[in-house]
Amino acid sequence: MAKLLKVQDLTISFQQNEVVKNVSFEVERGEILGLVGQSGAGKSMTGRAIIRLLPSSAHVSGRIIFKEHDLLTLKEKEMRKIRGKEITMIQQDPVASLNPAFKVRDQITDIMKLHLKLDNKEAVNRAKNLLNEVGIPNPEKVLLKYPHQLSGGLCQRVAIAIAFACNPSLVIADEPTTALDVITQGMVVNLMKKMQQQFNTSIIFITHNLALAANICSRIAVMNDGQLLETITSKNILTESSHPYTRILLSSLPTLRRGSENT
Amino acid sequence: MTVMEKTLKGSLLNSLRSKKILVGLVIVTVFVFTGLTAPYIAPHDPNKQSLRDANLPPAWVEGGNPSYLMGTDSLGRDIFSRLLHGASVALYVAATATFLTGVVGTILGIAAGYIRGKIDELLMRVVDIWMSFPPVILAIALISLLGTGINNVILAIAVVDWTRFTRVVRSEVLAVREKDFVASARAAGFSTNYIIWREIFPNILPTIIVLATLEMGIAVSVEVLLSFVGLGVKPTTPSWGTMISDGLSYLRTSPTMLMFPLLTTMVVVLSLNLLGDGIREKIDPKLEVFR
Amino acid sequence: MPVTTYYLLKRVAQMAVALLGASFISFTLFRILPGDPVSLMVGPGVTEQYIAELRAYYRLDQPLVLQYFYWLIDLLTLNLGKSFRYGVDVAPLILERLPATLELVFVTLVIGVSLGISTGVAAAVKRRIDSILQSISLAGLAIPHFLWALILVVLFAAILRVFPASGRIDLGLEIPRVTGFYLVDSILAGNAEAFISSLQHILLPSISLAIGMMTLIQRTLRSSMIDVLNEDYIFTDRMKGHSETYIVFVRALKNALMPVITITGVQFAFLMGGSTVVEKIFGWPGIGNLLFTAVQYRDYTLVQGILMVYALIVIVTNFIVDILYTYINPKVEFK
Repeated sequence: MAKLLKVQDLTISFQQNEVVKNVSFEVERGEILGLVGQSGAGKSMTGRAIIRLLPSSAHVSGRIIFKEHDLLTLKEKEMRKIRGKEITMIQQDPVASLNPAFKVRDQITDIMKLHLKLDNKEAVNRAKNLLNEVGIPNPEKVLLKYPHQLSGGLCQRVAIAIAFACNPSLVIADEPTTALDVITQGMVVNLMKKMQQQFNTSIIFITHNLALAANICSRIAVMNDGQLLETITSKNILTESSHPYTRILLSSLPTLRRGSENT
Repeated sequence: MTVMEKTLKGSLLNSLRSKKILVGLVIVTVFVFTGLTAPYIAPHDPNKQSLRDANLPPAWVEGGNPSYLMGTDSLGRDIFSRLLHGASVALYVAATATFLTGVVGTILGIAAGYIRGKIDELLMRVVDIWMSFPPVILAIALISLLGTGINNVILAIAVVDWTRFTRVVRSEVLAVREKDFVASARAAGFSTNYIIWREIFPNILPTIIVLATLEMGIAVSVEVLLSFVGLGVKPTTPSWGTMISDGLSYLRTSPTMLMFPLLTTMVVVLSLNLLGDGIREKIDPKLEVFR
Repeated sequence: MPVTTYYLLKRVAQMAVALLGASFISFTLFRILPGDPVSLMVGPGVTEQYIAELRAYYRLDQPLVLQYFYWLIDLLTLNLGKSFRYGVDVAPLILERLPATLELVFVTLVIGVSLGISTGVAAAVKRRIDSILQSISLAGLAIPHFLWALILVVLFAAILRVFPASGRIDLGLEIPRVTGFYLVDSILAGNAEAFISSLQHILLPSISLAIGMMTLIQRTLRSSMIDVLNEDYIFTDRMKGHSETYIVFVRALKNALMPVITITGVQFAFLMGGSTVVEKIFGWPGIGNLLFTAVQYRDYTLVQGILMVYALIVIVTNFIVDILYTYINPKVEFK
């Protein structure tokens, strides 16, 4: 089975300053790949490059092969067909990622009307079902609300619903839990696992939290300073990882053990 | 370091790099200079009529007279001299009205912004209601009561525009009073007077300067406007406004009668705005002064 | 329904307070004069008896509070007194001329808002347009309405002779008066020539008024749009695959218009003020022109009446703008 996504020698620079240097990795169908590293490692940039929503001042080279097509060579018009339908993205700040001037309903149905050519009634129905799937108890009420009337956790559920609305092949989650409290974080992670199983979507999970990544991802790609250092399976994270940087990340994780050990 | 000290230190020379400030400053300086020296440099008495020399075109046009550089109006008065004296009038009105509005606006703005409470609420209510009256109309109504004349024009400008000044000063004071150095001064037990004049005032001074410059632009506009409709200076005083009004009647035959004062007014008003806007950009680009 | 009845009532009450305040200012303006207002109104050679009658008519010998009270009652019954110069009641006099002013203001708003919004969006999206507009926008803001009116008159009426310099319609063209708005009435009468003539006449005055407003809207919208287009939620909309046009004109614009509406409301008072002089310059038969005549003849009742009408227009418009704003901005709380 061909890989869903192949990133080859991706380089992103802003005015001679390279923020992503020759990054290569692959994503299988149905797998959750973690992209882990500190702030500024270039993870978000990589994610945005895949969906081709980098700032216009960015200079990109390399290849991003998605289902046999190099996304970097596509025309904008063709790319727009892919965005929202084949590849979607979830952002860090859930409330800020929703348009404050429009009701939730408009923000979920629009993507379905655009790509799935549904009419209003069908779209609203499907939106209700989606909200149910993401665990929102009163979908009819929530649909009529504005983003500022909802909590962060609720907004992130909505964002997840939007991301999965058209059954995409790939969802890029850019630090989806960072702006949320710990309990909500757990909720979001579980939700994403569930959605992935249900829709068999591939997910690129971007985070700086290695433990979180190990929880949800099957494989983890470690990045630092724009470079991809190594890719390891989460199961064997402690044994497999050879790169010194990964070791540093691992050792800085707080562990709960009887009789204090690490800091 | 207060904002004022920072501004003065860093940007006196830096200011000249701003095209707006440069151009504005040059023209405003010419304006001020002309206004101050008009009685001495004007070639003719601006009120001296000479029906024999009426409606002459500018000196460089055929039929013109070199002693009347820009030609004459319908009563034979030298346009150039009238233009220069008009600058004096405009300058006097602008400076005085701005000073008046500035003093009132600053005091009220500080009172409302710093002391707050009932004074603030009451003042803002008054300001809101005051601003329901279109400014021009209020000025006209006022002049209709007080009569025409240059000093009434100044009063009218101040009465009409103090609200804008007050509002902006108040919001600046509101911002400054939250700053740490004010809190520490208060904790140290300094009197309100001291805090206002030594801590708050220097920090709002740049804003006041911007407001004052823009206010002068408005004052010149209003003076010209009022004189244009016959409600400004007395007929014996030369003003760009009356010149424009006279020139309008002769638009088809002697267009320069209208165009010289019109262009002069435009240029002066624009320059004052350029200068004010340029200074505003230097101190705080997000400053809102048009509300 | 974002606006509750309670909120509406609250706003109406505020409007009433504003009108009250305006009436108070209007009232005091004419009584803080040193000397006797009546003798200022009449010319020489008038009998003592006449002056006494006038004073009684204006209730000048009564205590101030009572005077104000009567003035309020007069206002509420829409009795604005008698015009001194014209000898007729003030209210119908103003009413006859009001449509001319309202039509002018309306056309100005249409031009100003539409051009302001389109140039604002263009400046936010295309950098080249932005740099051009930046340099000329200061002129738009700094130069007052009446100077623009004069410039336009010189350019288009005198030099290019494309547009007429005064009046509302060509001489000789008559249309039956239904609304008082020439543009509307000429359509209703099916008179194309009258419509074109009215349009020609209204263009220069309304453009001179619209320039300032257009520039302010453009500037505000541009800066607001640029901020909005950089927000996370616009990124989400792009991620969804929407076209840039849809994003700019539907998703971003609604958010960016909020400060524009506020500014337009504030600007309206200035617009009304500017319309007065523009009316004079263009010989436009509205209440602004009437004001000048009233002032010239010291017809204080007329001046007072017109002043109140202007205040009323501004206050009501502000009210409408506030309500409009609550529809656009879902975050505004209604308590």
